[in-house]
Amino acid sequence: MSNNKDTVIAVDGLVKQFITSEFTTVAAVNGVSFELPGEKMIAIKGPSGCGKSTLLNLIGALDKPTAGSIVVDGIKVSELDGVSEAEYRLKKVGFVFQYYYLIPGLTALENVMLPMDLRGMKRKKQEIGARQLLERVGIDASRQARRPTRLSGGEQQRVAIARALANGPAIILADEPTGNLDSKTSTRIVELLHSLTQEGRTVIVATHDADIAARAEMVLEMKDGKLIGQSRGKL
Amino acid sequence: MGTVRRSLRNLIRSPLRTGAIVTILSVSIGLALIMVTVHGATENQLGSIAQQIGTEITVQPAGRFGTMGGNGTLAQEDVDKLSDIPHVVSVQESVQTQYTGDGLQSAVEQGGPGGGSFPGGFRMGIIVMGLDTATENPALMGGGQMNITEGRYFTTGENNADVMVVGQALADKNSLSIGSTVGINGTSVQVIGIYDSGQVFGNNMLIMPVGTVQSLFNLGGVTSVTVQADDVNNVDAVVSSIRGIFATDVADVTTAQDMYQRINSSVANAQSASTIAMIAGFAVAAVVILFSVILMVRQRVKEIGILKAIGASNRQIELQLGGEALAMSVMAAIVGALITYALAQKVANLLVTSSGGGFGNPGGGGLFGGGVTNVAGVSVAVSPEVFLYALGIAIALAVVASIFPARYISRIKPAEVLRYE
Repeated sequence: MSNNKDTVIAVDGLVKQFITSEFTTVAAVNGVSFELPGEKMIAIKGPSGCGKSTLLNLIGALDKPTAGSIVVDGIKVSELDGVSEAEYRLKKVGFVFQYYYLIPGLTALENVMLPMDLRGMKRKKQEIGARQLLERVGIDASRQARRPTRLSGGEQQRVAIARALANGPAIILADEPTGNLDSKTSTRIVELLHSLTQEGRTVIVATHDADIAARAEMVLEMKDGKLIGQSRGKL
Repeated sequence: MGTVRRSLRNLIRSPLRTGAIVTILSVSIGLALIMVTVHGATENQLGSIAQQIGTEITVQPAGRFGTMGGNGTLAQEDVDKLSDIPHVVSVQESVQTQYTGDGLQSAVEQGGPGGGSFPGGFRMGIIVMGLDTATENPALMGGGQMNITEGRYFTTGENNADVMVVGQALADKNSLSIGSTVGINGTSVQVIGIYDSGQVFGNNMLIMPVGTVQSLFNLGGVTSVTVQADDVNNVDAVVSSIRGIFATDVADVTTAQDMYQRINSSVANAQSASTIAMIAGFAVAAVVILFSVILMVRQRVKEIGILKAIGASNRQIELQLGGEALAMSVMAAIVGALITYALAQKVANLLVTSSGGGFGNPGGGGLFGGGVTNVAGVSVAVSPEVFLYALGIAIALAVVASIFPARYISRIKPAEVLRYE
């Protein structure tokens, strides 16, 4: 693995195995190595079950690798545990999920305030910051007090993006962010995600949608847990 | 919004679930609190009964009842050994016999069929009682306490003096007053006091110092000894030691304990029942809150996964769930305390009644009659401290409820719970 000064994420020999219900071992990610530059939108492309979500989860410390290493901004993610793992997820990365995963009992505003609250920020500051973020992603004040069930899918995903940005992470990990949206809304969400790179963030999107991949500065292509190619960028 | 705020919001979010859990918890906490209160009340009652039982032990010649029956007197040399028994604080000797002279007339006439004294009726004999000169406010045979209305009682130096105190009725019947003398077995005995015991039989007695009675009636010992133990718990040991001095064919040894046995066992049974119910109440409350939190955790696995994914630590999630458990416990504790105020006395009555009932004469009109409330009835005063107990229980339950799910929470992997919708 090289030590390119622009490298933000370095993955080396990454393996993630699962044990199936038949007690056989399946490698969702099988010996993947790559380096990613910062401040770009990177797409991980491939068919369902190719391991792209697992790869994203490993980078985001939502799961632990079976073997190999992940280094994000100098942090050895694969070696984190307990409090340091939670802190990494709280400050370093922001997640955007296909099904939004907003807390249903909280309003849009409160959902965005939640990561700030977990960080111990004062309530007034949380509210100001959350309102700004919601405005930024296109949720106006009249809809900020609504609960997720009273928002459209596109709006919910915007709230989820605002939540991912709440603590100012350097990396946004989006797993099929448009998988549940119509094409028009999808385009807007992709534009929104792409715009985040202008703020100096790295956005990694796992998708099987070629249109989204087309907007990315770099595309990693996966199949059966392996990296089978890249396009428009360096690996 | 803070962990506490999130906890409370989550409770309001599911009012039905919260209401159901708080209701069940309230009942179990209420039960536990009622039992804590009843337990305390029964303990006080047992203490009170112990006081009532007293520490008196009576030793009399075997088969003797009052002035009748039995094998004469208890030998003085054996009586003298009683004060050396451990836990004995006092020994009061007395001797009783019957006046056999003809200088005095009994004040008690037992009516015949016509109701008059004669013919068909008879006069009750005059009882002569020899008492320890140091005895203060002595109890008299037939009931009642000696209340000097004229003159005085004996002084400690008069143990063999020819003096006596007579009952009011006997004095009236025989026109006796302070300074009068009565010839008894050839000795002139002076009246130094007149008393009123409030009892017909009690007022028909001649009271003299023990030594005087022994001398006048030629008695070599005493007819009754009242031994005082230092503590009700030592009565049995003292009785056992007395038995070592007086064999069963020589003396009868009685205590008040038998008389109170039923009341004591009734309240003791109620206390046992309240202890069991208290433990059951605590156990049910602990199980309810524990299962509630486990259920809460299992139902909200996805939410916990989301919280972890956005950076919540295990501790933050545990605190949030612990806060919810605490809030529910506190609500239940307040309701439980209010239930206690309303029901503690009723439950106590129920427990005492079902644990043996009262002790009384047939018809319930006697000293201990009229059901359990006179003596065995437990009076439950619910103090404001019950709220402190409730708060203590609530905190303890919340702690219990938070410990077990903690391990489960730490094992939840966000990638797994968020993998599938």
